[in-house]
Parts: sequence; C-alpha cells; structure tokens
Amino acid sequence: MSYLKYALAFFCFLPFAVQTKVHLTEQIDNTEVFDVYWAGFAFLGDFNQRETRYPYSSQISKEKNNGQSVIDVGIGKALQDFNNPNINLKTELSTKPGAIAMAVGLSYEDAYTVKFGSNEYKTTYDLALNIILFDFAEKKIIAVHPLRLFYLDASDSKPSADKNKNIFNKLYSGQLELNIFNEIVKKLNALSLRKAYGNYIGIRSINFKGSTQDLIPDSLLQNNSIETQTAQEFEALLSKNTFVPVVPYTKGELIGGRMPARFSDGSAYNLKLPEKDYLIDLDIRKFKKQEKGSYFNYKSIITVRASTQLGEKVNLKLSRSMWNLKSGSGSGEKDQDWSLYELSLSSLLNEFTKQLATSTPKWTKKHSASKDAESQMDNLRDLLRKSQ
Amino acid sequence: MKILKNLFLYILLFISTLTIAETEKFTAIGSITYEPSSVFSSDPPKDSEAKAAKIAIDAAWKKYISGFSDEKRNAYSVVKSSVENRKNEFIIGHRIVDSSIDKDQKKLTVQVRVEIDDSAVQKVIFDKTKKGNEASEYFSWVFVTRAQDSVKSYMNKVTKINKAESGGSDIQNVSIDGDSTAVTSDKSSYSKSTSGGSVEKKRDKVTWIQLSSKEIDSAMGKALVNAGYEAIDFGDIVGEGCGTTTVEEIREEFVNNTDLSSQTESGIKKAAKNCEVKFTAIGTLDIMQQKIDPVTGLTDVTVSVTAKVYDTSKRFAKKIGSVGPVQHHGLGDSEQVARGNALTEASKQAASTIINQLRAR
Repeated sequence: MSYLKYALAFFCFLPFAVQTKVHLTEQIDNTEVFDVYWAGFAFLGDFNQRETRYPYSSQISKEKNNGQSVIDVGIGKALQDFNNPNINLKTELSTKPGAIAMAVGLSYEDAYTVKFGSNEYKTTYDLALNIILFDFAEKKIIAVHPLRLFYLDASDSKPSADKNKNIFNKLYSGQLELNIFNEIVKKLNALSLRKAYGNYIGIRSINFKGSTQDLIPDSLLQNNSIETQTAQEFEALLSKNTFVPVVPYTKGELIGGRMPARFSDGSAYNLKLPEKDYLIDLDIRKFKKQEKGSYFNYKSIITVRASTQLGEKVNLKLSRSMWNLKSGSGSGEKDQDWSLYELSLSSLLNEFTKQLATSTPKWTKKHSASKDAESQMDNLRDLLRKSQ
Repeated sequence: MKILKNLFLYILLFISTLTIAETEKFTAIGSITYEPSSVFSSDPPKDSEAKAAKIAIDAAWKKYISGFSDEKRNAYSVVKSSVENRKNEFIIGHRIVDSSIDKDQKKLTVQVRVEIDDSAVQKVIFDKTKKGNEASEYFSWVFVTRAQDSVKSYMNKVTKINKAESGGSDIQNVSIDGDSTAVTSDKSSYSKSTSGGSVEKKRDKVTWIQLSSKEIDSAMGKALVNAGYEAIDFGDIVGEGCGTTTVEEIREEFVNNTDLSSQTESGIKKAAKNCEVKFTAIGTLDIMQQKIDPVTGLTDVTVSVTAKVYDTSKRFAKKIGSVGPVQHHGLGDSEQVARGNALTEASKQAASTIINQLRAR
C-alpha cells in the first residue's frame, strides 16, 4: 500500500518536474582562491544625511564595546563562522594594486508601522545592505551583491522611537530570530568570486504611475523614499534569485557614479561605481482592490523594461493577485491597504525573479498579458547571463 | 653621496610607477552594413560582429583621447601615429555589451566596453617625445609649499543714506552709518522715501607659513625620471657655486611675499644657466582653508598649484610652459592626511602637465 502511495505521489509531481526549466545557475569558479581584505561595515550615502537616513543604526554604531563600535564587534564575531572556499578573508587592508576589499554597506533603514483593527500594530523593520567588492587601491567597485532583511513585530500600541531602536539593537546583537550579521555571513559564505566579471546590470528607474501614487502613504512619498525602497527590494531579489551582481540604484544617493561609504571605524571612501551596461526600468502601472465573497483581492500590475544603448531589449507586462481574508485586511485605511498592495508587489517581484532562473511555463502565461512574454523573459535572461 | 642617494630614490620611484597600471573604461557603438552570408539567408557573415566591434573600439579610443588635457593632447599629437599603430597593446580588453541586426537595412550594430591602459599610453608619450638628447638634459625646480597661516577678513564698509521727506516740511533726516554721522530730527517722515549708499570692499589679508615640499619634490623627481630627464636638486646647483640664492632663501621670500622679486627669479635662472641646466621650473603649492566634506564627513583640503617653466640654456631665459592656478582637493580623517592627499594629487598633476608641455613643444 505504501508503494502505491509513493507511486501516486511520483506521478502527481512528474508533470511539474518535467515543466521546470533551469535557465540561470550560480557561476562558481573553484579554480582559484582569492585573497579578500575585509574593509568593514559602512553607511552608504552622504555623510550629512547619515542621521536622517539611518537614525537607529547610526546611533547604535556610536555605542562602544572596549573602544570598538558594537557593530564592528558584532560583525567580527559573526565572521568567525565565515567559510567560503573561494575566499581567503584577511582582516588587514592592503593597498597592493589589484587587491580586492570587501565591505558591507547599509543603504536603507526603516521602521514602518501599520495599524490593524482597533489596537493592533504591525511594524516592519527593514534593512537594505550591499556586499561590496572593490579594488582598494583604486577605490573602484568590482561587484555589488544586495541583501534585504525584514523583521515583523506586532504590538498593542504604536512603538516609540526607543522601542524601535531597541529592536534594531537586538537585530544587530543577535537577540531575535533574525540576526543581521548571521544573514550577512550566510550571504558571504555563498558568494562566488571570479577573475573577471561580465557586463553590469542595474535598475535605472522606478516609476509609480498615475493613480498608484494616491495609494501610497505620504511618508513614503517624501524624498523618493518609495522609489528607493522598491528599487532596493527588486535589486536584492534579482541578485539573490538570478545569481547576478547588481550595480545599485542611484537616485538621490550617488553623484557622478560614486558611492560614498563611511565606515564605522571613521574611515571613508568615495567608491567609484561601474557604469551600467543593462538598464532596468520598473513601471508600477496600477494597484487594484476587488471584493469577492469573504476575500479582498490586492492586485499589482507592472511593466519591466530593460535596455542597452542600442535600444529596448525587454518589455514585459506582469500582474499578480493576492487574495486576503476580509477579516485580516484591516478597516480599509490607506496605510493598511498599502501594506497589502506592497505585499502583492513584493510577491510578484520575488516570483518573477525566481522564474527568470527556473521557469514553469504556466507562471508566465498566468501572470503576463504580453503575447511574447516567454521570449521577453528569455531576452532578460540573456542580459542577466551576460552580467553574471 | 647625495647624488647616489637621489639616484637610489629615483630608481625606487621608477620601479614603483611600473607596477601601477591606471586603466579607464569606455563604452562605444560601431555599425557595419553587410552582404548576407548566402542567398538563402539574411543573416550577416560570421566575421561581421568582429568588424563592427573594431569600429566600436576605434570610437572608444577617440572618446579616450577626447578626455585628455590640452597639454596631454598636444603631446599625444606628436606621437599619435606610432601609438595608434600599436593600439592593441594599450587596450587591455573589450566586451561586447549588446548587438542588433537590422535585416532590412542589412546593418549590424554592436556596443562594446573597452578598457584602456592609460599609464602605458602616458609612458609611450614620454618615451617617444624625447627630442634628440633632450632626455638627458638637466632639469631643476624650486617649489614652495605654503599654507595660509591666518586670514584677516575685513567687514564690508557700508555707507547707507536714507532720505525721508515729510509732507510740507523742509526738514530732512540723514544718517550715514559708515562714518557714524547722523542728523536726526524728532519729526517723523511719512510720505516719500528714497535710499542709496555704497559698499566698500577690502581684500582679505593672508599671511603664509612654509611647509615641507617633499610631495612636489617626489612627484617632480618621479615624473622627470620616467620621462628620461636628469633631475637636479636646485640645492646642488647652489652647492656647485652656480648661484648664491639658496633654496631656503627662495622659499622664505615666497612665504613673505605673494611672488618672487624679479631679482631672485633672475638669480635662479642665472644659476641654472651657469650649471648648464636646460630647464627650470619655479612654482608654489598654496594650501587653502580646510572644510568638512558634506559627502564623506572627512576633512577636505584644497591646494592651488601654480608654476612657470623656463628654458634656461641661453642668455635670456625663455618661458616655455606654465601650470595653473589649478585647484586640487584631498580628503582625509585629519587635516594632515587630507593635506598630504591634496598635495600628492596636485604635485602629480603639475609634474605631468609640465612634462607634457615640454614634449608638445
């Protein structure tokens, strides 16, 4: 009887297994072990914006443990678990021509609270980081691997700034399920270095079209915060799911293709970014909310475009519905609806980037209105492959 | 012994420059029209992409040249054909970023990214522009590095004149702030007023202090040795009895006065001529005020460099080149580090400009 069960399971899953196609894989070069010099933890962006962009992390970085920033102490401890056969990590920096340095740069920090029901608050603690490999002597970036971390916390009152700082502190010191430094080290352990990198891909623009702007909370519309947040999430997913380094989105952060990085030990460099060869534009065209029975459907409709200097290579229209129980969708306030639109958009970007690496034909058919969606996906895969 | 020491230093500097390759990347586009590979196909022949890439590489090279400073471009024009005949030696590599085929127009277009070894090109410019035995000519220099010790700023002297006319009265209220003169009246004005006056500006008074000139001495030495000149310390010229004004006296004068007196400048040129030094450079590196760089939060020091280069081989020295004033910035954790970085960059650029000017003559 048990054999019958296994056979049944096998035949049920067989069609899915057959339809799955792997397009992109991690490019591992095991032929060489690279000496990489650890540069430390850095805050990316202009120094005079540090307190406003990273209000919690910048405060935490000033706290000392035996004269060393707690962030440096934390990451130093986590690096004891560093184990990447491709990298020989050295703790002292080298000014030798061609020496590769590695830094972890914080590029986004937010604590965002949404009220649900009468007395329930959901707070998202959001951090965007970049693992940056650069030529230390020339201060030129070789590759950037983005990393995005979220931590959700529910409370019966709106958290104060002190409580938010306390949560971030715990995230840095490993007192919660999510430990920032362990996540960084996990990413470092999976990193593959190569003698030569391919072409450079990155996000050029994030455009929230027409009425979508009306659905975004005012706080996220200030200082292009929503564009930066979406770009960083998209590039982190693209990097993670398609195994490609991504040149960071630059709006409002970088001047003249440079990325200022201030390290927690006080040193600072103006790192030179590579020019993007392949430019991705993401248009968020529409958010739709529909009611059906005891559910609300939150739908995101987007267009992903990619181009080179020779013209547009990809134009792909995608959408994703997310059904949510009415009882769990809040009372329809702007903030509450936004958190669900945001979730549907995140899910769409996550699934889309996974499909680029490993596809299931039904997904593209289901989520795209474009007739030539599969060939558009292939065009984008081609650009990603050349950027690996 | 001193000459040996200098020689050893220059050899070290020369070796250090050989190990650093400064590369630059450029993206460019190239197109070709093609004849289809066969009567049954509209595809381009196999070698079409390589042909279009070659055109794109040439376009990238032109972009690279267009970024040269005037002096470097002038020097490059002297050696252009010999460099461009060996172009592949300076192109570290290229990658095809994208390509497209217009089958109707039978046109293939490629976009390439090209990496060029700029330091190798610069070395060839220096090597190839040697004029006869000029490479073995003596070259001396006197540079002074000075920092603003204090800046005395004067407030603008403002003279305001207010004239108020009150209806039906002959009384006028006049106040002159600048001279602290006031004529007042108890009677208030109400109907019409005009105002005027003048602002007198007075230039800030700057005093200088002298700092070590090791950065410019090192950069000049390195650039001259690389370019094949015989670099001579001005102190050695005085030591040989060719002149009487010492380096210390020249630097002292630069610090106490904005410029050198014509007598001192003439003395430097004469001393160089007496010792058969063909080229002499005189200049200043002025360290301006420091500030905090808003981008990095580091100390930002600005250095302004000015120099004049003379051919001192004949009776009357002839001015054959000049630098600046050009400003360079340096960042650092402290004022000292930022100043060192700014001086190093300014010195490197000044030395390179001088050599390129000599070579482009």
